[in-house]
Amino acid sequence: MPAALVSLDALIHQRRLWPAAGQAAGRPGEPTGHADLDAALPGGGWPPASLLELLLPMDGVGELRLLLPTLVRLARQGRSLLMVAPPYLPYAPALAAAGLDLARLRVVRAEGRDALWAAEQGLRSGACGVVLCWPQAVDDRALRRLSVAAEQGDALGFAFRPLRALQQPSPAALRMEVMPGGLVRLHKCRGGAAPATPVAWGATPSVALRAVH
Amino acid sequence: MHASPPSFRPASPWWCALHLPQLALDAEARHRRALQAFDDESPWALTDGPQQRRVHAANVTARAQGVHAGQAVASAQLLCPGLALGAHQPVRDAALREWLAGYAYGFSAEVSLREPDTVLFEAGRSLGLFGPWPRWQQRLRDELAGCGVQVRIACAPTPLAARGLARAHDGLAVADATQLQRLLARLPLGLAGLPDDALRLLERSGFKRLGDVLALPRAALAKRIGPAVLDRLDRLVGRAPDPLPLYEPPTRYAARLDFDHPLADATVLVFPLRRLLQEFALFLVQRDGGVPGFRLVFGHEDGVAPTRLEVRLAAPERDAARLFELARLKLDSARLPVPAVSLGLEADELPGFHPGHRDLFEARTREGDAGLLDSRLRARLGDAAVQALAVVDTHRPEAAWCWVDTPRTRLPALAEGPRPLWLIDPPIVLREAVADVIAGPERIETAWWDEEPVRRDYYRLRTRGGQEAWAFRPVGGEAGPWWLHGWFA
Repeated sequence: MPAALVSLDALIHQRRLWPAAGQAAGRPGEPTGHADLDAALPGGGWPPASLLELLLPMDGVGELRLLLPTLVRLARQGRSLLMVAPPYLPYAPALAAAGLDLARLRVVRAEGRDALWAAEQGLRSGACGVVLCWPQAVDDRALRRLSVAAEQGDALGFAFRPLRALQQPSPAALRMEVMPGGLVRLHKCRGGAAPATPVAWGATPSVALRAVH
Repeated sequence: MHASPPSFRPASPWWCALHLPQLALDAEARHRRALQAFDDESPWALTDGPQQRRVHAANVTARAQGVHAGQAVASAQLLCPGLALGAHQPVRDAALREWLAGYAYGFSAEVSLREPDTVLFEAGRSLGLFGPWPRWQQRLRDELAGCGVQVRIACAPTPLAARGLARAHDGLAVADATQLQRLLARLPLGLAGLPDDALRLLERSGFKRLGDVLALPRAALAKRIGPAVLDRLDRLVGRAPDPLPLYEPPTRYAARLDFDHPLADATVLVFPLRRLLQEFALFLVQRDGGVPGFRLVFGHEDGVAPTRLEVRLAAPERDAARLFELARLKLDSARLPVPAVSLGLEADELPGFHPGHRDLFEARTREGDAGLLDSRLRARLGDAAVQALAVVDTHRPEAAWCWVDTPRTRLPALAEGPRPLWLIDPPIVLREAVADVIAGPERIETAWWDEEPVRRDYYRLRTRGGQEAWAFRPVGGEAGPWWLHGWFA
């Protein structure tokens, strides 16, 4: 095979080529609520109407706090939030204390294919601003479906996956490793090159979660 | 005195008759069509009488070959060798009449089922809403044809005249009493709705048209036909009031289809399901109401309790396609213990419908979409699998939240220490090594009257791996392990 004929997938996988998504390309990003992170992301925020992958070394490293400003803001705009098959109980007092309107949040308890189905329905519905899901043993095709659904429903789909999933290619518009200590590392982001160094998103946890009066 | 009115202004009241010329055939065909593809082109007939030896009604194809009502089945089979036969089931006729009354109730609060072959409703007062009459009439014809119901329609100032004219001349609309007298005079006597013996008596005397009878001196007529029949004539022409028993719409909806063979496969069951929901949706549109939910009841063979599937909707809904989609999801996720021999649809609550805001460019509001999403998820996964969260006012952390079906917006009232976003319930022993204490202790103590009183010191810990844990030790248990109660995720 001539050296010039390299498969597109390989280029995309090596992050030498970025696929432009359909309608969402060119739209400014959805603010993350963290100034430093917004500055580091090519569109100035989360790539809109996309599937976004958050890769975790373990649970409890600030992965939900990172998203809280986005969740609170979209709920205030009247968008619904869907959590599909979370690994622990989302704790209502903490969510309410962070200013999240609990009336906007639905939690789906399901497994395997049902969970993927529910996430896809939520993304596609047009009602959800954000769908959070924890897909287990998911293949490329399933992620692609979620990605298309997010684009159709103009939603942010966050898929939480273990860090080792980085070894597989993914159709997600963004792949971000959440590190302990309020840091994230971008491994891929649609619309630009990812900064090589970790970005501090400024988690000062005790402030972020202090109850509001 | 005045010029002719600018628009058609009928008498008040003005009765519309929906006459069912082949009630039994339509009722049977609708029933069969709901179960499978039904061939109405081939000759078929319904039978009644002792041992089902008499033809009750025959379809067009059979009639074209000489089969007619009242004929002996043996003669009918000689005339038409391919004739398919089925026993006439009066309950199906009654169900169709009832359904048609519910349909008419969507147009008028005065609907009557007094006449066996006709549904009557007062149309004059609703004419402003649904008229003009030609358009309204077309709508009735289209909608009923879509449901497989043949009707003859006529309107007149009296209910009995409307019925008689519908039988005589489909599409007639008689505005006032003068015109009515003229038309009734020409009405064939057989269509006037007189009792059989009175009719035979008058026909034997040579009377052919209603006008001949009405021209008789009243006393002579009364002597011939008796006061009861005379009263019916008076009500027909409008000389006497005709108070009708009015149809009361049911406060709940129930419909059922019985299958000829037990059905087990969901792909086959969708046909009766679709039919039931189409009728239900039309009923809801007519009532101007949406339902918050309905129930599918699968009947089984003797001894097996029916399978009930509740389909709940997040917001009242009446659109046939949406109802069908949700019911189908429910059906797909359900497993029948044994095949079903019938399928019923029941709805206990029929509240008023409030049309949602529908923008020209945005088919449904986000609220509506959210409700639909909820319904869809619940239909497939079950109500318990799709829940919202609420805060409960208590100091015991594991009791400070609950699942709720329908959430309310509530401002957080609790002012307590930092709480984790993930709760681990019940708490487990912390396995990870603790690197340092970020915050704590926070003493959480519930009153002695709490169901399960707690007295704990909570800490925010960092594990060696970098996780942030919410962990406690019971007061007095400082030497024991850390209990992990949540992650600051």
